[in-house]
Amino acid sequence: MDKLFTESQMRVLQAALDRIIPADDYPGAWESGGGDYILRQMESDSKSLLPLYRLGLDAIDAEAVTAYGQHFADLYPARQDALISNLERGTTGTHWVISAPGFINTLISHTVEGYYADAGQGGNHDEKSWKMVGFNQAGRP
Amino acid sequence: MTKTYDVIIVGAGAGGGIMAGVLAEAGKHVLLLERGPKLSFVEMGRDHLRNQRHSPYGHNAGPEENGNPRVLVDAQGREHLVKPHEGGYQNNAAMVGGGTQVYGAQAWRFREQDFRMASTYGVPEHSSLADWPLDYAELAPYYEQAEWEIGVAGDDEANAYKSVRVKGFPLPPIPGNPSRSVLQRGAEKLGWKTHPVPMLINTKPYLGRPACVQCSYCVGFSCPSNGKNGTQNTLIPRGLSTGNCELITHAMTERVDVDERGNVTGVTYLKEQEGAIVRESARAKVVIASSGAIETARLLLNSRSAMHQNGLGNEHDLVGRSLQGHFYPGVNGLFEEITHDGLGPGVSIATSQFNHGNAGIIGGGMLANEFTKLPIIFWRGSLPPDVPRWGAANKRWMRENFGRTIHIMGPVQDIPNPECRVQIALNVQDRFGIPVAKLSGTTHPETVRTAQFMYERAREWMESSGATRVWGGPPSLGMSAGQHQAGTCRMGDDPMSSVTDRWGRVHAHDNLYVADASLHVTNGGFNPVLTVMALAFRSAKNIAKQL
Ligand SMILES: Cc1cc2nc3c(=O)[nH]c(=O)nc-3n(C[C@H](O)[C@H](O)[C@H](O)COP(=O)(O)OP(=O)(O)OC[C@H]3O[C@@H](n4cnc5c(N)ncnc54)[C@H](O)[C@@H]3O)c2cc1C
Repeated sequence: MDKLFTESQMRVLQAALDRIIPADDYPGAWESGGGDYILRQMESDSKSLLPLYRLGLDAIDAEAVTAYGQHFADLYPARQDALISNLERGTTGTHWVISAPGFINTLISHTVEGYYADAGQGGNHDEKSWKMVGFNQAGRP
Repeated sequence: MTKTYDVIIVGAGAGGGIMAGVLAEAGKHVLLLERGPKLSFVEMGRDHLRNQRHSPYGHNAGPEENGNPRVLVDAQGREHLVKPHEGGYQNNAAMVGGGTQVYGAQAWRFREQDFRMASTYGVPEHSSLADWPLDYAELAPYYEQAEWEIGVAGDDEANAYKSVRVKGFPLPPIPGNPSRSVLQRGAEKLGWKTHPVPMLINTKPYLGRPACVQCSYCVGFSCPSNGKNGTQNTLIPRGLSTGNCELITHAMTERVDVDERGNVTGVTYLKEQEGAIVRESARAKVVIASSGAIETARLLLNSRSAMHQNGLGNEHDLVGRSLQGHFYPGVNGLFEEITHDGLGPGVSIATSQFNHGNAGIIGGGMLANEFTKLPIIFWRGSLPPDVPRWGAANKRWMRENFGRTIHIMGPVQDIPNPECRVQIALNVQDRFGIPVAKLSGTTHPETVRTAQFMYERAREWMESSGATRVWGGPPSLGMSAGQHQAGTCRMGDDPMSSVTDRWGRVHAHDNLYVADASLHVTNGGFNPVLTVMALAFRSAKNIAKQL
């Protein structure tokens, strides 16, 4: 795949997805294909959001470095969660040129779409999320 | 070369499909024009993010995203260009079958009072509430015809509030699911009567097509077993098989044509061929507009001529007014027990107790449990407000409670507002260069009062059924057109207050008809499609006799 995101942006993306839907006995968002879903979105319906994503992922990392002296992906999960919660509330320690809640809500929305929508979109590998919630598999053609 | 037919029908949806089938079988030479394509189950797919139920990125049943805008006027009077998949567009579907290949298939008859709203309740100020020019008894045989020829599953005995009916349903009701017993229990405690929801679904093989496979993709998708019944698999193929009906898809009708004396002669439509737009005309003795409530109004308003400067049928500025649909108040509830067995369609219990006779309220509505939801729709719309939107807690909630919730909701009788309307946006054209529909206004405030009353009944039912939590907000004023859009070319006896006569014939024309939800004077407190179908059967018989 073409480089939509830098390596460090990809690390933030992966870590954030795995906090938005963490793994338990069902896969987390990344393992389930959430990254592929978002990359596909960035090349199709959500193309116009690519600049927002680039800025947002960098800004999340900058938040982590400023607050904890570590990259977002290297933080303890509890700190990652706290950081995401702060962004949702609009509480930031660095200067954001985009809306922090706006970006994090978009990221949450895309992550959830990838996880719960049909596998044809890149996410929801093996339809595991459907098995998890008990979405009907009966009578499928 | 311009071809000549007995009848040209514009739009192959619920109303148009029935017209085509009945008239072709009556030996009439029919041209059926449909702006959209004919689509199969496989072509329509199961995209959870691009379907007629959930469309953040697009649709599966048209119209095409690009080149088909509408203009939406907001409360401040600002105009917005909207695309088909965006909420403000008020989309239904654009394909062979119209809404009927993707609908949920609830098959309700309106009740006696639904045809006499003005005389039952009086007319609130600033409302265009009116009686129909026909009553329930007159439509009843055609409801029956729709139920038997298209195929409805239901239980005639169970409904304590049913309208008088001669014959039962051709198919046994859809099987119950755990929600049904939970909600039945709650209703019994309240002394309410409930019954299964009548559905245009084959609960066993019927009319040569298989039974439903309970896959839970009814609403917004095509049916994999072909056991969901619409015009695309009943009356349209019936009409085509006579050899008397020609169906042209991708044919966007631009206008109804008239001669120099103002008499309707046929239509002009546009097709795209090898990248170029080709304009074609066809002539007929009778033209039937059945493009759905918004597009039929657009078609008539765009059919301006020297004799009809404001469009056809619009001498009294009535075409496009009283655009209505349904408010859908409802609540979600959480239960300790399992409420879903994972099978479709899911909707399985209703009460018609509150459609009329509610003290101090105009009309009312039906309440039912909702269809089985796609998980993404559940996440978007069914989480309690205090459940986090992400993280381990959200995942746990989804996992534990997807099968433990019930959503009760239902359509509310819309009190029409003449200022809620379809007009033509002369400055905005579609990809064919045809001026698009401009939508403005809201329903009448009385609708919100009725919706609030029904919202409270939904809450009461949920609580009585043993929900441990109940959530969902009350209704507020807005436009209600959407998939249940209706009312823009209402029927009536008086040309000063209606667009068509009691047969759907446009006043002052002897050969121009409307046959779709536009005719509805009021839209009942029930899903509208069976009424669209019944009216079309009735009017088709009348046209066949006269031609
Ligand atoms: C997801 C969904 C669920 C629904 N569930 C239910 C339900 O459970 N019960 C119920 O009663 N109703 C339901 N409905 C509503 C129901 O489908 C409509 O009430 C019904 O289809 C309206 O019939 P109609 O004949 O007025 O228009 P339509 O069925 O919309 O048909 C109009 C047709 O005209 C075509 N057309 C428009 N303009 C032109 C033009 N200029 N030239 C050529 N062709 C044109 C359109 O493409 C369309 O195919 C649902 C609808 C949807 C989308």
